[in-house]
Amino acid sequence: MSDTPEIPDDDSLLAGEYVLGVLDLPSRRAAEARAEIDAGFASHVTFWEQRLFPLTRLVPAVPPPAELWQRLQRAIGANDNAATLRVWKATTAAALALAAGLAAFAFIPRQAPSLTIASLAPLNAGAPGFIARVASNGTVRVQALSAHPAPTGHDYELWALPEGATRPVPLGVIPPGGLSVAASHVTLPGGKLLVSLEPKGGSPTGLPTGPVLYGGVITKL
Amino acid sequence: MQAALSGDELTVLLQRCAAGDRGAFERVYKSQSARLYGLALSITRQPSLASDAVQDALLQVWRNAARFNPERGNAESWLIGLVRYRALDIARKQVRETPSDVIPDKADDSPDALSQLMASGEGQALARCLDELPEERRRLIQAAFTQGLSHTELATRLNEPLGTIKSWIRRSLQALRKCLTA
Repeated sequence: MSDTPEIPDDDSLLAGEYVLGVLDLPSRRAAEARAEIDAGFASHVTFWEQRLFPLTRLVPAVPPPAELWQRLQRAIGANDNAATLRVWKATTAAALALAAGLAAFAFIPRQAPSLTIASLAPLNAGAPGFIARVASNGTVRVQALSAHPAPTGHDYELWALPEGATRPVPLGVIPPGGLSVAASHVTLPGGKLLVSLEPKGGSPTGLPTGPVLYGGVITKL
Repeated sequence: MQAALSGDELTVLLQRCAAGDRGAFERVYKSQSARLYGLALSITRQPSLASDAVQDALLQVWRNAARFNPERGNAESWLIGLVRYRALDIARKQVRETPSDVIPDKADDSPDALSQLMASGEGQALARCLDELPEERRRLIQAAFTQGLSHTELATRLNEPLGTIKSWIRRSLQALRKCLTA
């Protein structure tokens, strides 16, 4: 059978090719853009979608990997404080208990400079990772005790957790050189300082979204 | 295993998603994800890319559920469109090296598939019209749709000139349109 004569250009057929999925990327993009602004073309697209989409019945259903739902939950939780608070509570309830237990060893040894107000140890009670000191200008400087940059694409973020509070207050991302914060934010005897691992730039939600890695009890100035 | 949702139930769930109801979003996921993932996998042919396509599409559902207008199409089609178009975008950006015939869950392009299509009420007219196409054209349309193959990929697979494939597709679409609007 001959494939001539040429079939004339036809918007409906172009829409059909778009819905069928045979167009290359530039043509797909062009068709999509056109459907946005051209109601006539958009109605051709709708025509074909309504008629061709039943073909999806021929494609076998496949259960997605479990981590897909976890990814989605993280993504949709990102803008919701109540949900994030639930996540924060669930993932850090144990961490907080540990942080409370840190009191015994988060106090700075007596020979340490008196200006140190907290050392932030891993919640599994390893060596301290960060230390908070009062600087000469009266601000409090939180610094890593050794160089251990956050993994690529992440930042460490500092949080204050006043005694008895359930919501930590964000104090900012800790740059490699350390972070200075106003003393009033951290002079909360009995409160805690926490460091969590967050996406680059810090938690988008105002609450920790990543693991709380370090914590320490704030001692008196 | 979740019981299938009716179209109306899905519509209500999408409207609740638009209002920020996470429980509704979870029900949409649980009832639709296997179908949508299967669809994305059949087009992208890589589990990680299929996951990306479904994730992107469902995030659009969550963020733009208010854009779903039940008067312009049903809820299921809206979801299918979001996943299909996203999967096609991803697939077109990849150099796809996996020939579709090594994919185990390859879509059914046998004539039996038509009777399957017949069984779904909305697919009846399409099945009847596909059945009127010459066998090779019917298979071409079904493979193009279910595997998201481009003109170029079809030409390579069938070892036919690109122009021939384009012309076959157009003729088939013309015949389908005529039959479906008759």
